[in-house]
Amino acid sequence: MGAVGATQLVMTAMSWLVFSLSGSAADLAILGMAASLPTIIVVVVVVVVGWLTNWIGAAS
Amino acid sequence: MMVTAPLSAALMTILALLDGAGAVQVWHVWVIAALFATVAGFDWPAWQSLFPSLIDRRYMTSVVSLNAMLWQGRRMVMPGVGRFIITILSTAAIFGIAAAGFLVMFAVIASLRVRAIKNRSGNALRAFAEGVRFIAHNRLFYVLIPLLLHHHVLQHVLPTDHAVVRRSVRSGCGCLRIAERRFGAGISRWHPWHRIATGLAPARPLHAG
Repeated sequence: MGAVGATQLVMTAMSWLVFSLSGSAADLAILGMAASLPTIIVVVVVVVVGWLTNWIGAAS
Repeated sequence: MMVTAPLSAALMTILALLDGAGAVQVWHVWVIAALFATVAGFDWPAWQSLFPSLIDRRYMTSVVSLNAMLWQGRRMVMPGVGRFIITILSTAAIFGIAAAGFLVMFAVIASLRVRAIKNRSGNALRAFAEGVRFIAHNRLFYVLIPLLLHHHVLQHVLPTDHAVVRRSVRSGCGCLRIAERRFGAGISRWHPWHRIATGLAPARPLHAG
């Protein structure tokens, strides 16, 4: 519970900080992308690794 | 999780120090947000897989429901708490609190006595492949996984909402905007017609006065 609570706090503070620094909605959008894309990429990599593992296991 | 919690704490400490020293720049926040999300990409599945080790199988449904309820509750409450802390302290304080929270989480995880679950295949990679096969053979996941991804992406589109909320607060209709944000008026408000209709001024730095 604390971890997700902390994550929500951090995202609020990061958004606030970026907007205070630049005042640009585009910068906030980039922040959203930076906070979202890596997680998706990690998930995709994990799935590909799993598929390869499965394929190697089936071949051997 | 023994690795991700200290890493998250370290990232938050760096950001707190940069922010506290007044040296923080926008790209610092971007980089740390990306690293934080990368760590979270490993952390979240680990959390999910921890449940079966902590509880009995017959309580799983209740635990999942409780977890989902707490998850949504936190998402509603924590931004408000964050705003309160920013008002009385600073954003650096939030990063410091988050760093301390991750260290506490690390201590809690380190103290857990988790019973080992024996894999049927006896090999972690094979067990993982077994999980992927299970997902591939159940069509329900073909809907659930895109839905989850969609939800995740949409959740991170919302930070741009801060721009609207903060500008609206200055223009005197903050309560309405914050209520709209909290209760979800939908992504349609990002369409140009909405921005024109609401007469939002172009963004400008707050410290510019």
